[in-house]
Amino acid sequence: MNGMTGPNQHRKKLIIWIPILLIVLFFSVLFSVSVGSAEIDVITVWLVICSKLPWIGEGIDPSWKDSTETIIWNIRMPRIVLGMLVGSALATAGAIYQGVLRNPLADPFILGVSSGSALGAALVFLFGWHTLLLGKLTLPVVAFVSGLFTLFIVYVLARINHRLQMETLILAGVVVQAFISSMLSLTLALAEEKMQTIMYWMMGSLTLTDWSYNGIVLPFIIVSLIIVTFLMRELNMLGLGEEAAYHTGVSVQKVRLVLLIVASLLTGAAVSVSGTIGFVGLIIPHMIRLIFGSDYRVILPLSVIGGAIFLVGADMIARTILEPRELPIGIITAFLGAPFFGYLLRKKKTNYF
Amino acid sequence: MKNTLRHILLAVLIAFVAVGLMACSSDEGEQGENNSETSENNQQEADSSSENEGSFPVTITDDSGEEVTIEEEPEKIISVIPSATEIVFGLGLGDKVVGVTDNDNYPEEVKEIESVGAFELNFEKIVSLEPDLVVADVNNGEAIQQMRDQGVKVLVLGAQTLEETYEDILTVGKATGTTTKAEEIVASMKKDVEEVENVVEDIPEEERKTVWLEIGEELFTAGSGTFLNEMVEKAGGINIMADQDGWPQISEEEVIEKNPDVIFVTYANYVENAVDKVKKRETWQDITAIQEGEVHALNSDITERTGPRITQGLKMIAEILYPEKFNQ
Repeated sequence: MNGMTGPNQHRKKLIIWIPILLIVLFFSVLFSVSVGSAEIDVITVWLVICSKLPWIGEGIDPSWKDSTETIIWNIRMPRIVLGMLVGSALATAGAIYQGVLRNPLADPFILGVSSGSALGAALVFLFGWHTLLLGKLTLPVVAFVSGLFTLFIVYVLARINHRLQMETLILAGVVVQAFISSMLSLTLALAEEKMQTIMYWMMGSLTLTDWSYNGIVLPFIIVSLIIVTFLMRELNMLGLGEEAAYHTGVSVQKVRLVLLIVASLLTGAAVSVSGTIGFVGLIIPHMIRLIFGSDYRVILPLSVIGGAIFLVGADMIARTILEPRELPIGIITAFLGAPFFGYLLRKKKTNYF
Repeated sequence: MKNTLRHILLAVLIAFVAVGLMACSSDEGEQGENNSETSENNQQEADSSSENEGSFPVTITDDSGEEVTIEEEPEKIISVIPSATEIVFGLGLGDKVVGVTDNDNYPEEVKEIESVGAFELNFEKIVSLEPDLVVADVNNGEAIQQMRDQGVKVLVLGAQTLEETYEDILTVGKATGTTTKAEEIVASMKKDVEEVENVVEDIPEEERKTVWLEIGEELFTAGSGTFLNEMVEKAGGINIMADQDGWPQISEEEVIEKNPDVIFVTYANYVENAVDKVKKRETWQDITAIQEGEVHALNSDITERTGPRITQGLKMIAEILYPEKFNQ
């Protein structure tokens, strides 16, 4: 608890660091939208974007090709925005799981939400349900619902005598994940040609997105983040241990449940539109914790922005480093995240969790 | 004391794994070299074999680098790869085929023949069918050695180009005593290719169609060195991703910028409405191919399967690219 030195310490940190990180995010987005495999000069990129803004946009005469506008506004921008949303969601979910489960290894996928989503998505691919019911939204919706259903099963398994033990919960998560993995393997074995599509989805990616995907995840993420802002103090108390939290007046069981559901909503929303992008949810909360201390009132808001910066940056590298090729974004997140994390760990030299 | 013991054990384990890995990788290296040498051998031997039709035993160095000696004309043949099945049937040996895989779908008769597995082969089944010859592909990998260890005679094919497809057909012809038929097939295939080339070579560079080959909905494509790329180029098209090797995944914006004239989709047989979905992509509406409705499904069975029908696939691609030149 080395970060909680004074009652207003966390406010000071936030007042300084939120604007700084927002500026970093702004520049990452600006830089990210300016580069890509299509050769479009930077000025045109910004003109296209400005022309889309209210008021400013009306004064700009489009002097570029339609395809240029499509590339900037309908391919790069939605992808970058999705990167921000998914990055924020995964990092926040990771921070919550780590706090609630009091386990430094926890990440957004620990309770099986992602494997449930993956199985749902795999079945959609296998049976060719893509356009059934909801058109192209079928896949994210099925993935989301099956992810949450998995969490429900884990919860029911772990709930003993109306109480939820964190160790039991993690175990139940592991067991359910193992079972789902076997079904996923079976699906893959039967999928033949579709195997590649399923594997690809599981690896996670922000490609081939459009504004509508942002539209579906945004409400979930906003609502979840609003709920979390009211529970940050309680999350700190949970960190002290169940009994201590109880004595500070926190309704441990209730708070835990709400936080777990919120974190799973965030994870489910992110996974449903981007597959399972690893490492963001594990590493970003840890990085924030290492740099800014272990006060969740600081960790959570900064994870929201940090996750967005990290994923926008990682995706930019994934789509430009070998252009015109795309690399799976998971390679980049782990490649960048792991060494930096190792560096922070060594530099800190304290037992910080 | 206990700790030291554990360390020693760990060190030994690591050493084992390391040695194992090195052995594996050097094996692969050698095999790779053998492959390229032997495909040349194949051709020479096949060329000189036309006189002694049906004389056994024959010895063939196949694409796995193995010398395969076939003592007498095979009466029971198993094909574990669809391209080989088509070759065997093309050579008129259909009634000798006792086993195929679930992936086979041509000709129609294969559906009546016993299955020996799909991507994973069922060795028990293969052995119990007592084949005189199993025709396989280098992609069957370890399964080849396993079958050989069981005493099954395996002939391994591995065509990656049109030229190598001819060789494969001749090799199978030699192994089955049907050299004359094999040569006929190859001659007629070469005629198909010549026909296409004659039409296409007159098309000036600026009128050549640019092509986007979509082999996966996630925008995987076929770059240079792939069979599909060879087919498109032979058919007079320009693959917009020919500067990439192998099977890369491409940025969407790159495809839009390159603005292809024609789009080929190869997964339409297992993804519903594949062509429609491509046509409806909102971000692709400025692409020439979309505006002119030039999005076509390619049946990969005849455009990528290295068998006798491959040149029909070539003709088909050329006709889609330049309909006005072919339907005169």
